[in-house]
Amino acid sequence: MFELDLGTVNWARAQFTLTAMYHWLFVPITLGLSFLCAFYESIYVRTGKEEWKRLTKFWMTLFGINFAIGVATGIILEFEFGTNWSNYSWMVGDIFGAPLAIEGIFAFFIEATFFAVMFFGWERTSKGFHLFSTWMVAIGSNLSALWILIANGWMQYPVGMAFNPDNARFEMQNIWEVLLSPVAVAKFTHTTSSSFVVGSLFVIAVSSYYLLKGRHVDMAKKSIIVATVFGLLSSLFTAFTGDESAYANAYTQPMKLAAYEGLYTGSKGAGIVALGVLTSGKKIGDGQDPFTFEISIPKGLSLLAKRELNGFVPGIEDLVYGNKAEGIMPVSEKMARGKAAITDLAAYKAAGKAGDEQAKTAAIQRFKANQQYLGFGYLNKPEEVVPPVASTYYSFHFMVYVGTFVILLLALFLRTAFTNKLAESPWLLRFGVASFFLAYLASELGWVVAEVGRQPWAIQDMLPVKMAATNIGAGHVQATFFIFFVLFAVLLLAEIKIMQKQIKIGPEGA
Amino acid sequence: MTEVLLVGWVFLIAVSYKAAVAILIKTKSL
Repeated sequence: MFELDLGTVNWARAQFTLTAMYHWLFVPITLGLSFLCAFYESIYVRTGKEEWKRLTKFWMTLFGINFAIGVATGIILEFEFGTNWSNYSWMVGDIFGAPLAIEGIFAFFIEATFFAVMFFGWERTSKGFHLFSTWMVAIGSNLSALWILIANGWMQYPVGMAFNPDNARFEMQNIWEVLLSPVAVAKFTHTTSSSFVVGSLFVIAVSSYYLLKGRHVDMAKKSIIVATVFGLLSSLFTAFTGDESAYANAYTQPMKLAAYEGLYTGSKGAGIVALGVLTSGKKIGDGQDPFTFEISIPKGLSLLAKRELNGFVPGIEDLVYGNKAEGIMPVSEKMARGKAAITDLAAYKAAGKAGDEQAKTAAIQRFKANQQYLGFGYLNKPEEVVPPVASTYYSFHFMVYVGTFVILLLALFLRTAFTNKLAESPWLLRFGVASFFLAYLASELGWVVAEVGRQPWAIQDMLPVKMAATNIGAGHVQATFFIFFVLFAVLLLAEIKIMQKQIKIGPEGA
Repeated sequence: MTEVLLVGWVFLIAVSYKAAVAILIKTKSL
């Protein structure tokens, strides 16, 4: 069977990981800070006070520095689908390409147009139109995220399409199913609201730094109050949407759920591991206890995944080896059916070329019986469907711990701001600075859970990553990987320098 | 549930702004 060189696939993976995680350094601040700028300017228009205008312009300057590099790296990601993942683009470009194109010609154009007014229109447009432009930048940025997350949601839960055996492509059948897929909506609301938290913590970190230094005290306090309210409400909403995402995972990606919960053997009334250390070297089916240490909440996972205390939650072993009682088909059977589908598809094409209509009809009927297992036909062994458990498990748990910590921290910030004691709380302010970096890391790890937890699939149960890459030599991808690495490092250093300089200048220079 | 999430998202932004202004007024910071 045709199979790509794993060296090429892994270098393409590495390059996409590098670009995506680098891109994600800028996106959360864009999504969160854009709305905060809209809030600050709304307050300026409402009060007419110059101090609010100065404050708004300061945060807009930092937003602009961040925005520029975020856009540049996002464009590189889209090109990588063509250069490194052309088989993927060929097979699903009809569906995956639609939201990406809409993002470019609709959402990004809104952002780009109003971004110019927001930055250069202060003295050239009316207060009302300038405020409208700032809100449109925030809405446009988040609409950009919506379309990208719809595309990613479709990779996790492919719906609204049909396979065309004549050209071996998946084609769009129902765009509304794609747009309003429960996974896409949960992903959009969870990802953007968590970015609001990161954006809020960015404002809190910079303002806390000012308060610790005794500079721009009034502006820092005002900034913190608005950011704390937005951050706290967003962090609560993030917890709610995170729960919804896990609930959706239970039905659409049970293997991912089992991996990030460290669940090897399924059960009714499954407990959820609140704190645990995985057994190193644990392999599926080896009989070892998955945890060397664990603190579990009884029946917690059944409640989270099935919304009932005694619901059955399948573990990794159930999903690989099957569970007759729960109606779970073993992967080995799915692989056999997938390989039959591949054979029948080849027979269909051969019959078409030979002009044998009868054989063609028979082949397509056989193919359709096993079509849903087509992706499994490309696997070499059943255990391949297990994602890297440790990185998925630890990333997920770290993200949840940070999310919980941030809720408590922001509640404390709000209480302190309420009693007007922010300037007299140096320890809280130090936590305010440090927590921004912690939230950043949690946000990146959220993507590790989403993407590593989906492995080995590029599209869940449909297309393995090893079949999705472009068939070019690993050297080509390697070369561009290092070019990007150096370029990104230089750009990041430049951005940090410019950002630091602007923060040192403060709102007077905005 | 998708409707609840999307409406909740819009409410999150509107309520955040309203609550922030209310607290700014309360703390005499507006």
